[in-house]
Amino acid sequence: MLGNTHISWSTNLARLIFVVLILIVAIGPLISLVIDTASWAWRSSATDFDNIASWSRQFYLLLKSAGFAIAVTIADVLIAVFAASRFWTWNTRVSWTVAALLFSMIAIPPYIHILAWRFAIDWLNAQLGTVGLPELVFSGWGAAWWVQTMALAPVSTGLALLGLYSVDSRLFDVGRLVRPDIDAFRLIVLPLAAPPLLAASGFVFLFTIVDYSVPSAFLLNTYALEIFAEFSANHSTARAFLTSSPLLVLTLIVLALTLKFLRQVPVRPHLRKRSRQCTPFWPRWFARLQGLAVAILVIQIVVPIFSLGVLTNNWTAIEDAILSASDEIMATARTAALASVIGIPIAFFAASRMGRVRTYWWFLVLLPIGLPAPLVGIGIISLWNNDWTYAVYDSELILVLTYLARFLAVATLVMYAQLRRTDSLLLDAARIVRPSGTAYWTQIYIPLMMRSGLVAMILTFVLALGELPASLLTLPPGSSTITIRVYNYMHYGASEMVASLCLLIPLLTIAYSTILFLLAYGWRQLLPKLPRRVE
Amino acid sequence: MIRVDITRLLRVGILFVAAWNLAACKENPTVVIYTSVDRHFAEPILQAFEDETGIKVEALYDVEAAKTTGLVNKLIAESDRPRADVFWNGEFLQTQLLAQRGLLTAYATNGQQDQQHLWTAFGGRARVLIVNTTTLPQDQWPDSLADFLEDRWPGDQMAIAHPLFGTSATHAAALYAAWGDAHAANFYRSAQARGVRIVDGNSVVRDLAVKGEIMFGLTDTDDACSALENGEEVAVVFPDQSDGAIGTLVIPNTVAMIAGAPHPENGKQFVDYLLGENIALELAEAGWFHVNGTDVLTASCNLPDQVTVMQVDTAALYEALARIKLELRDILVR
Amino acid sequence: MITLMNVSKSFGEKKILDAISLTINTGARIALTGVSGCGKTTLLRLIAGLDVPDEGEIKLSGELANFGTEIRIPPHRRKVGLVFQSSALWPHMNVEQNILFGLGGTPKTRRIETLDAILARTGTTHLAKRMPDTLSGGEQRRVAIARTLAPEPEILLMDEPLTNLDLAAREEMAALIRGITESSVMTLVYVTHEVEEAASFCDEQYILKGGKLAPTSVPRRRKST
Repeated sequence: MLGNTHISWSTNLARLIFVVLILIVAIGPLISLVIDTASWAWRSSATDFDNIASWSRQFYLLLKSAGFAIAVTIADVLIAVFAASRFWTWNTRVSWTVAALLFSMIAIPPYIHILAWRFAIDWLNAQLGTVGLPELVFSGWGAAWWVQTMALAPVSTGLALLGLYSVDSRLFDVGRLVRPDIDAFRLIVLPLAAPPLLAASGFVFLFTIVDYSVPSAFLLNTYALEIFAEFSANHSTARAFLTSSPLLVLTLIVLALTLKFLRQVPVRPHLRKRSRQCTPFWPRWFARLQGLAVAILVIQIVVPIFSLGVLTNNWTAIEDAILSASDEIMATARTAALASVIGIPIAFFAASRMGRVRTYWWFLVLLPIGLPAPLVGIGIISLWNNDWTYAVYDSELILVLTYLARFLAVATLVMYAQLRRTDSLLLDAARIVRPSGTAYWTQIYIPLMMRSGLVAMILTFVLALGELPASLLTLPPGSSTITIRVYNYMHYGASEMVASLCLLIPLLTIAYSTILFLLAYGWRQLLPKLPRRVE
Repeated sequence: MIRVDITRLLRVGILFVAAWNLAACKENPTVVIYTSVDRHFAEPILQAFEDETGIKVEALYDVEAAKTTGLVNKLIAESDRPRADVFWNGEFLQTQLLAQRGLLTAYATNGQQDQQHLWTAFGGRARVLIVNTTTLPQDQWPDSLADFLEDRWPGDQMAIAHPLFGTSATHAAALYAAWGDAHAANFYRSAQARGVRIVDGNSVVRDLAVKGEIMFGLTDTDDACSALENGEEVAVVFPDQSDGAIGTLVIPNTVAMIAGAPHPENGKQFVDYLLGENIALELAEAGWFHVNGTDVLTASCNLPDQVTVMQVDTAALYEALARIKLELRDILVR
Repeated sequence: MITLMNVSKSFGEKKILDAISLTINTGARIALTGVSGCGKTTLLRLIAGLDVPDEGEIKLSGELANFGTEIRIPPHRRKVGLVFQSSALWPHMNVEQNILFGLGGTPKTRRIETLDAILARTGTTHLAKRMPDTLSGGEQRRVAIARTLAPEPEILLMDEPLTNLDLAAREEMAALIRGITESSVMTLVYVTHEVEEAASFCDEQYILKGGKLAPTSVPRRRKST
């Protein structure tokens, strides 16, 4: 009885700590913005609200932006499904390596993708010109759609791969015996892999709709640019926040739909290693589409690397870039890694609560995804730039908090998708046989959540590496990040320095992923050994 | 058991934050500089100041991609507890905005200042036409902003940077003042209607001209001249230099002390250093400044020795800026 | 008829199946026993076409199904049903949908008839609309058998179908399996740890040890397991 009271008290304390952390880290900037906006609205006269909304123009812009984001999402999900289904049949280690490679490309800033694709198309056109063929036209919505799709394809494919791996392969095996492999894949595997796929589509849609950089580079206007225009005109956080409210509403709708479907997908746990399969017999059309999707992903990796490689030109440039930006490289790696490490338990807690408590919880935790990044930065400044927390604000820790504010929601979504697959009975059973808190966590819970935890950590790390608009605002003077350094020098076109630093970004991700996988492997080795068997 | 874990967790957390805070303790003397001047140009100056004075410079640089929502908004957001000592800006309207909001403190210098001595202007970048000399022979070069509406050149062969952001926004405000609201609005509306490319930044205008994707575009001297210095097939033209024309807009740098700055004396020392004659020359040699008053500072850009400068009333421009930006947003962001 | 000729399979350094040759006649009921990890399940998966041997041939009804690593007959054309140790029911489909999945190409009226018949035969009619996660372990196992029988396989592979069931459920399941196997001409390959359980369903029994297959004597058949 005493023990129960004791555990209950400490559990409640742990919950309280996590709730406070989530309130401060993830939702704090949003709350701060809401308070600022309310206070501004209270003080303002009617004329202060002039020109915030011009309904027909803004509605059309929003519609255009949503259409663009939907087109990118559809393309990315299709690439993800076809490519991941091909990787899925490969050796597990090979496909995890592919996934890590794909994830490593996420942090390459959108501008670099634009630069790389323009460079590649120019090169291709020059080749076409030499043989008398007409040049490719690379402009307008088509080009923007392609570049944005390419920039986000690694995320959707990586998450799709996670989804496919989370399906018990025996369920596919049983289906294969009675129906062609494609039917078993379509009707059994895909619906069961839906949670991470849904998380991927939500992620791609939201990241596309809040980003203006790619459409803007192709002379196209989107709603995200509207917010920047407002912010740039009046420098009023409140007005910019009000202008961004339609995006937040859209975010809410997308999140609501995503979570509704996530909750509808019936799942069951599976702890077994994937059974060894013979390669499925795909119909020719499906195999061709798989090949096309894999080819697109290869191109997605090759084009930026090739373009950057050509622009970098020599190893000395890379050495120089490393030497001159060593502080930035270290600071970015340190803060991004710390954000990913701190973020995981918070994301896990947030995700576990999303399954139990009312809707307002997921609404609060996930809404920051739809908040324009500069406003997140402003919110963080409002929250932390005071006498009490100045030491944190004036240190690198503020970058960690910035990354968490921006990407904790993404990590939470990934963890939630995995939690939907974890049987609560299994965890309860573990609690009964092993009441020790430490053993319960180290031997049951962490290994169960390891795979999605690693994915969420790598995703947070890589997104943090590429973060610009919020960290630009919160960065302590005298320090910088690798991405900010890239943008500092971007003004001079694709200099050797920019290209070299951009090449370093995927390398940092690969190094971090390798460290995480080694740690995860080490963790598994420390667990009590069970006899391994092959039946 | 869980309680023990939490206690440990808390202890580790507290120690971690404490260690971080200790590590964050800054050595004095220090000066914190926020600058929207390109890092490429600003960093050597800051380094030289640090070397000369022994005052450690902690700098923050803006990026073009942030579309003027970077450092100025940071300064506004930090106004309750300022962290910067000095704001060194690549133009003047954003500095005026900070002045209007009471975020600057007076510091009298020998330079060209606003009435309240809140900021000092120095050096200058001009808004120039960059022309691709391969596609456009010299006798067909444009010489006025009005040429953007001339049928002689196809609309999609010309480019301007988005007039909602950066120096292009300052230029738009200057044109509204010089031409009148209706004329200026019509200029942008017509330019958009005839397909003039409205691109992401002045460096993009330069790159398009260098690649021959446009015949000419409107950009800053630092961008345009850097292309010329790299040996690209481009020329730089001061627009509207004929008699009675409005002249070329020259945008000076501005430097200002932040009100409530943590290291005001060091800040003042930096302002004095920056306004020294050597620095303007150094910045001119580096390719940041090309104009000072009506004098053209560098010969490398093949520009005439003198420029007819567009006359602007800074305070009036500032008053109109937000309204103009919103009007342009309604015209261009569709 | 199932014919295995010199079938070998290794996982890494470990040779699980070492040049196994075996002929199982149509309608025969054989049991495979052996310790955990000896390769019993692997052998079933090779017959089902879910995995490929490194070497050797597999023939089904005289037709070459595998030639080394090359698959000549894909799994869904082998007319093989497999009941896993766990039921492996598709959690997003109800019982009826689980059973109907294997009747994809069948005309609608025939499908309904088959469904009703199979539900009745396995005693699962009352479970038709239930989702798998609402069923008990024994019920799930029954549904898994119903699902396997629906497409009328010629070969039934069972991988420890009675494991992890309580005594009552075991007896019920054993009766069901016995009823099915005795009333049909299906070839049965039954994998189990327990020799007595094997004896209750099968005419022949083999033990898999060190990658080799050897016949063992069949104890007197018992009525229950």
